Amino acid sequence: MSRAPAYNENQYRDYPFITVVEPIDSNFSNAALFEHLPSAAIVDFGCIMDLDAEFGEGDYVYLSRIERAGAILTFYFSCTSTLEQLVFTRNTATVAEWAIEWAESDIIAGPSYDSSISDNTPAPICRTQGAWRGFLVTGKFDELLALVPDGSDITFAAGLWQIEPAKIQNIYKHYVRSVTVLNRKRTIVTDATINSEVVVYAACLDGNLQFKEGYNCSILQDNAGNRILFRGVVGAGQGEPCQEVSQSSGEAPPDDNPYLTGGPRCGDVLKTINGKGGKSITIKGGPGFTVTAEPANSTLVITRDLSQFTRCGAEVT
Amino acid sequence: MSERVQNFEFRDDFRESHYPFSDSANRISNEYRRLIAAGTFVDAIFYPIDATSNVYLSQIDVSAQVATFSIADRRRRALATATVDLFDPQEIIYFYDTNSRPAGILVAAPLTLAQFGAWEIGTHTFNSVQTEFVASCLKVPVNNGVRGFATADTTLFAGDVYLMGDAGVTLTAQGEVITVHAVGDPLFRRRECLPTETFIPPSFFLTVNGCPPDQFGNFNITVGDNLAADTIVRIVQTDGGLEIRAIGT
Repeated sequence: MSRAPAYNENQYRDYPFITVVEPIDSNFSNAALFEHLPSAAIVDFGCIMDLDAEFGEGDYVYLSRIERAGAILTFYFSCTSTLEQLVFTRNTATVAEWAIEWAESDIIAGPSYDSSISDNTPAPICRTQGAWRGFLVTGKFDELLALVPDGSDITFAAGLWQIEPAKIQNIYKHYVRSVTVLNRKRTIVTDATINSEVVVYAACLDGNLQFKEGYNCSILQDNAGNRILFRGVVGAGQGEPCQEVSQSSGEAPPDDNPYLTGGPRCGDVLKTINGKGGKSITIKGGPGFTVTAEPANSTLVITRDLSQFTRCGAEVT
Repeated sequence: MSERVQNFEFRDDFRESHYPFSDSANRISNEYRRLIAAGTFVDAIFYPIDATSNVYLSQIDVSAQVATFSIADRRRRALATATVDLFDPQEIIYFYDTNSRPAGILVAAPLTLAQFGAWEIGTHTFNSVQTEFVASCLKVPVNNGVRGFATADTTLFAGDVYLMGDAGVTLTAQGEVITVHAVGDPLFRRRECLPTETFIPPSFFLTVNGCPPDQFGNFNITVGDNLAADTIVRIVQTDGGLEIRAIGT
């Protein structure tokens, strides 16, 4: 016996929803919240849960609401893993049977940075698309229009009209969407806090990214092992640096200092006195002077002492 | 609803069929000739990374409490696995690949999963002709770029990935080029070893009485009015430093 075409067959069964046996179903036992949905209205549905949906075990997709404004019906599909919805609209006066429509969920503004990187660093979340997208195929609306008065809506409880789980493709963690380049802040000479903050050098890079050897860096590409090996090798890559490398595009040195670390220039620091350097210099008194050290006060006391000299006439003081 | 008399619901419709296995699949295992009963699985969708085509149920490892299902493709390459607690079977069996990425689901009639508890403990293998899924159950992911960064311990990073330079490594970027510099952090040891609360900013000698050193960092102490011919004060270098002395007797 030949069978009816798929869409036509679905007009007479709950598919693409999990079958709901009225009035109580094993999947949805709260009969008080039951709302009838004519089978002929929705004949197919499928969706792809993208990275931001974070769809996981136990999550499901369901029809959450149908609105009617004149001949316009709006279908809202929700998901338990994200607040974003798929919205489909049908003009029942003009739409053809088996109309197919793809939709993408609108991005709901969330946190602008990922706090797992740093509490106070705006490591961006690089979203350019909705958390999920899907298609809806509709059939006949006669029964549904009779059920939903003009200007009203029907809200379905979560879990009532669940989409068959095999209609959902979950690509969570399936690809790299973007790369953000950051650096942990350098240690500043005069900063009393030991920096644990990070700074963003470039956010949300995509496309054909390349790694390049910088100062003292060697990059090996192992095609067989599908690996990239980064090594620190003195003089490799661009050689040894002659100046500091900025950690972000807008990095500036501390006030009154030419260096990003805040350290003094080599010539700014006293390294020798009268050409004498080393770990310590001893200043001692020769004839005519006495040098007394007061370590507790970090003081040298230099006293004129001419007692060893020949005195002529009055005492020299 | 009268229409249900003539049209079976989706799961009921396929419960007695081969679906989601292909029409030619006999569902009989190699080792013990065990048959996966019709209606055990009522639907499936697979989207394992690196899959090609002809995905099939390649293996079922049965232990006293759990059954582990594996799927493979025509290259006989294991793609993903799923574990079912035979004492608490669930309707949806979730498959994951070796990097814990979702790879698909099997929709099962939970009560029928008990059959695997009666199978011999051990590994039951299948060939593609025995347990191939229908083609529509496979959604081959589009190979549209890098799927993830894995570290040496196989931790996978996907989605929005952050590459961070730390401990002397600085990353810069221009356009699509990321440059890696191993330039060190001059004060890294201080950061590693010195607790924040005990840190005292170092204060270097930059001037003495307002006088800075010369370009070589040298500071000269000289006697006053050293141009005078009769000054007796001398500052001379010794092995250990300087000596301030007067000359004469």
